[in-house]
Amino acid sequence: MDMVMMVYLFSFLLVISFVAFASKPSPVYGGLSLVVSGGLGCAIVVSLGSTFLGLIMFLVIFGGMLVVFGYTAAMSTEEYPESWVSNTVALGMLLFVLLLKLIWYFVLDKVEVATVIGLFDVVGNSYVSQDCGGVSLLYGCGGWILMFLGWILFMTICVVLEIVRGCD
Amino acid sequence: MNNMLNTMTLMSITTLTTPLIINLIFPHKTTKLPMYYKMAVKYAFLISLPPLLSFIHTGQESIITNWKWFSINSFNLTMSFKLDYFSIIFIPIALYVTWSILEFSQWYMNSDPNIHQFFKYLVMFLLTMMILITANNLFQLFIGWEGVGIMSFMLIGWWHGRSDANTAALQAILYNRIGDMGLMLTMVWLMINIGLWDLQHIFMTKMNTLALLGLVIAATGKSAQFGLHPWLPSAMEGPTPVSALLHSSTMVVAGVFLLIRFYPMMKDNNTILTIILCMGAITSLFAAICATTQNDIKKIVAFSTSSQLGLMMVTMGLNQPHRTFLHMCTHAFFKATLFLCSGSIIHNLNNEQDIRKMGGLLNILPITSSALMTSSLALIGTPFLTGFYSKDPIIETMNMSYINSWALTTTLITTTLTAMYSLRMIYFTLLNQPRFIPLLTINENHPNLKNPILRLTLGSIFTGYLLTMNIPTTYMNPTTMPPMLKMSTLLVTITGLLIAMELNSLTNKLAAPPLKHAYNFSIMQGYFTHLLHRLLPLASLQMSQYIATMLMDLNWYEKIGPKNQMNIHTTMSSYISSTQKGLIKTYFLSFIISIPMMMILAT
Amino acid sequence: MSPYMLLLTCTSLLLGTTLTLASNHWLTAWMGLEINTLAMIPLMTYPNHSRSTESAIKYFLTQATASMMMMFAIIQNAWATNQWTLTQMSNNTASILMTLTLAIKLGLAPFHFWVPEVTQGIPLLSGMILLTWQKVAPVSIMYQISPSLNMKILTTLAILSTLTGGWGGLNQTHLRKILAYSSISHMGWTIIIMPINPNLALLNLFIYIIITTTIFLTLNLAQVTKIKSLANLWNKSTPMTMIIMITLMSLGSLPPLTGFMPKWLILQELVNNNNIATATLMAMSTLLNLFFYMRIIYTSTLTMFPTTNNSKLQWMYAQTKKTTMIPPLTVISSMLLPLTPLCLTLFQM
Repeated sequence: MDMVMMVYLFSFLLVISFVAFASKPSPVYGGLSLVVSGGLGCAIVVSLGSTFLGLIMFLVIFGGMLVVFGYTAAMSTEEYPESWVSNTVALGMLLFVLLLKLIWYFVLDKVEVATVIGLFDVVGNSYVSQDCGGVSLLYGCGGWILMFLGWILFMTICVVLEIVRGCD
Repeated sequence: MNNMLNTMTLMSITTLTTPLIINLIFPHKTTKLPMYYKMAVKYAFLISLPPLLSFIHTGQESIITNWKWFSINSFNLTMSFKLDYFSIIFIPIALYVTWSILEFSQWYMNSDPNIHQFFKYLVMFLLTMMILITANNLFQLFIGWEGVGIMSFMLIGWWHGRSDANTAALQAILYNRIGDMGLMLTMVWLMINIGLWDLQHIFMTKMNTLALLGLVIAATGKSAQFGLHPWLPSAMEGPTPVSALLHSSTMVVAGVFLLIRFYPMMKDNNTILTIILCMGAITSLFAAICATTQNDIKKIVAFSTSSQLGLMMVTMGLNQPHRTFLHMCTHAFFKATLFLCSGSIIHNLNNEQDIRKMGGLLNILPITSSALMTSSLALIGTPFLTGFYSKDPIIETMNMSYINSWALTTTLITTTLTAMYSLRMIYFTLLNQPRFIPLLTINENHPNLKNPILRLTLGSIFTGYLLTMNIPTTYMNPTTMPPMLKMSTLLVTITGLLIAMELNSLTNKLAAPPLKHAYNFSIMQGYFTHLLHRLLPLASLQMSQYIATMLMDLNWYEKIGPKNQMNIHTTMSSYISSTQKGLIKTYFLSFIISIPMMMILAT
Repeated sequence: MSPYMLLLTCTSLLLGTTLTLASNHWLTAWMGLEINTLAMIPLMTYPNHSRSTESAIKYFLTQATASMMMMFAIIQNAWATNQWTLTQMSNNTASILMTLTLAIKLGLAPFHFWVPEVTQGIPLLSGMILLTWQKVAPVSIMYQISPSLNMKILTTLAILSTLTGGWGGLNQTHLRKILAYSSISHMGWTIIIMPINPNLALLNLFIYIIITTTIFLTLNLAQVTKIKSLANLWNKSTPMTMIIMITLMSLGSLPPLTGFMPKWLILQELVNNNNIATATLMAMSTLLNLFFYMRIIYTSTLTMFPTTNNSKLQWMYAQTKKTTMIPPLTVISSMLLPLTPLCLTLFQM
């Protein structure tokens, strides 16, 4: 299987998993779909050649996603959680998009994957070491940006805590 | 000599202002003020005599320009007096007549608490007329013209407690305003096309029919010609001295005087001359018809004035300005006498104006009666009285001319009618048995009553002769004619007298009026006021109301204007508020619709 | 809210806007806007109840959408032109998208739905920050990319905003909603002039901020949120009725007051650039605003509440709240018109 077909497969699955969590089953299945779609997204990035970026994204997203998944799993105390099969509308939506995608594939009989290399080629490095170069630049001359990023993270956590804390 | 002419003429006008200044300085010392006014006019008359004699002796004319008023770009306005034949002759006449009228007013208005104010108005009225007569540029003439108008308004409405007097005053000022439009039209035309308002400069150029038509409209309004005449009989609501002054030497002759002033411009324009001729003939006939059946003594005299003004207009239409002027001067005397006599009768009969309730005054008021008869005969045109000298040549000239036989016939009929109504008035007031309450204290002993009437009667007898003798021969074109035409005036007059006698005998024998419709037409003043003052305003008001309700109320206020604005804003406002449902869905719907749309439209 | 948290959010609020103002790189500008949004959230939910939480959620979702679209526009621009400099918004699609994004952030007309509802749910002072300080960063970005803005879109948005602001405020009885609609229409005035004379837009924003701050501080002093309650304002503090009247008239841009100055200059500039129809339409639609300001003035200064006054006469006692800022702000928001030349020089026009 060449790379184009693999990217196409991943993107196909990505759309399916997006529809899966958008069609509102129980939170636990939604969380699951979200995790899957996140993983697929990272896989696409890796397939396009940015292995380091893909790995970082996978780690970061999974760090967050596991929290979300755990949270939703803890929240859904229902005995018989609603899945796609038990919800006709959700199942119909899922099957409809699946059908649409298949029809598109077979009728058009043409698949194009345009990889946007230029987008990531910010600093003009060679094809191999582009993302590593970006990381080193981030820690080098862009160090002050890191300070801001840290501030943002700190502030975000504070804001989230403040809001979920409820009334004082 | 030249200096005397200018100086003394201006001095006589200035003399009129002295009592006004005295009144300004001592506003509360009013007891002797009426006498001061009378004396001022008297002395002004005396001062104006030397220039008159000088003028008759040498025939010189002059223009005095003594003060530059202001200038707009190249348009100069100066205070300028024109002392020519017309002004120099008319000033003493007006002063003489006014002197008598003021003296008469001292008796007539004796019981009025504001008599000094009345005198002030009269003198200011005269003063504005003097300004009008002597003006050498149109602006100054306009000041006099408007001054005469506003002062007539004040004087006609003198008894402003009466609604009739107020209505009459308003009528006068409104009809005059229509005339003023004409004068303004001419002034504006002159300013645009010639750029000058000085008479001597205007006379060097040419005016077209439109500009002259403006003058004719002005004269129609001021001199109460047919169409704009109803204010003149209504103006009889004012005190009798006011009527006398208004009808003899001021106001109504101002319109005729304007045309006389502008005759050099008019003499070559046949359209305008024909208009003036026909208008004068209609006015003359109409007023005479109305006068025939009126019962109010003052209204009879008023309509006779209107008729005589029509005759003056006819003369203007014949292109005879000097004959017009002559008639204007002689008319001033006998018309003032007629009014003073009727004033005397009215006052003596305790404010009774209806001639049906008079009669037999010949024995009780001999002086008034003889004056009334003399002046009536002068009005009729009895040979060798004043009216004869002006009226006879006019009709002779008309008989000899070959312009418009219709106007000629009309004027001859008018002459007949003049004799008729004059005789009718004499018959009802002076002859037969008295028909009034016998308890009145009637007398005419007061010198302030006697002297003016006598003085004016003398004027009514002799002025025509004097003026005709002293008019430079160049102004008058001698005519030759067969004896029948020469006698025609006299013949129609006598016919009128005979018909009047016959009609009166009909009246006495209680026969029903044979011509019901004609009689009604005459006594209702041609239904003119009813048509013009009731039907026309009613139609105009109804149409205006309809347009106002349709256009303004419905279309503008409701459909286009404020109401519609209110509806639009209310609708839009509630529409915008109803989109605010507190749903996040709306926000994103607006994003989803607007953003792609704008991206597509803008790129 | 704890003092530490207050310190943190306020600092971040200032920091975010300052970062956007100072940045030359799209990423930092975007970052500043994000900090701003996040820091605003706790301020909005401060007295924690369901209305304010709802408002905060609505605000967050709208701003997050706008941020996402902004990032998209930035990446589009970077992809097409290969650089991230703020002033170089040369790609057409990106610039249109950026215009629309900033329109969402400013609450311009087709995207205005969140403004009245968010403002209505939050406390007065938070509303003041939302309607004044939060406009600074988007307008500064717009100011910097003004040469490449799409004039047609901006004019459409501006006219729609002034009309919506006018019409929307007409049947409101809540002061915060009225002020929100007033903000919508003033943002319309700000961006109509942006492609023609951006300095004038800054002047307009500056004066709008000052006047709105004065009004919010005054309302906060009396703690009124409805027009009806304004009828009892004399009881709280009598001079406040006068201040509200003058300041609202200034907001409605009546001639001898400060508010007239920017509108006058904007109209003049529009007419000079042959946009007479636009200028007329803007001026006319502002009359709607003036109408509902007049209604507030009428209620607060010319009428009494139609019942007997049962509360204590509070104007007799010393104020517990600080009024230090109100007098100088009132003076600035009403008497600046004679200093128009100075203001023009200050904004380098």
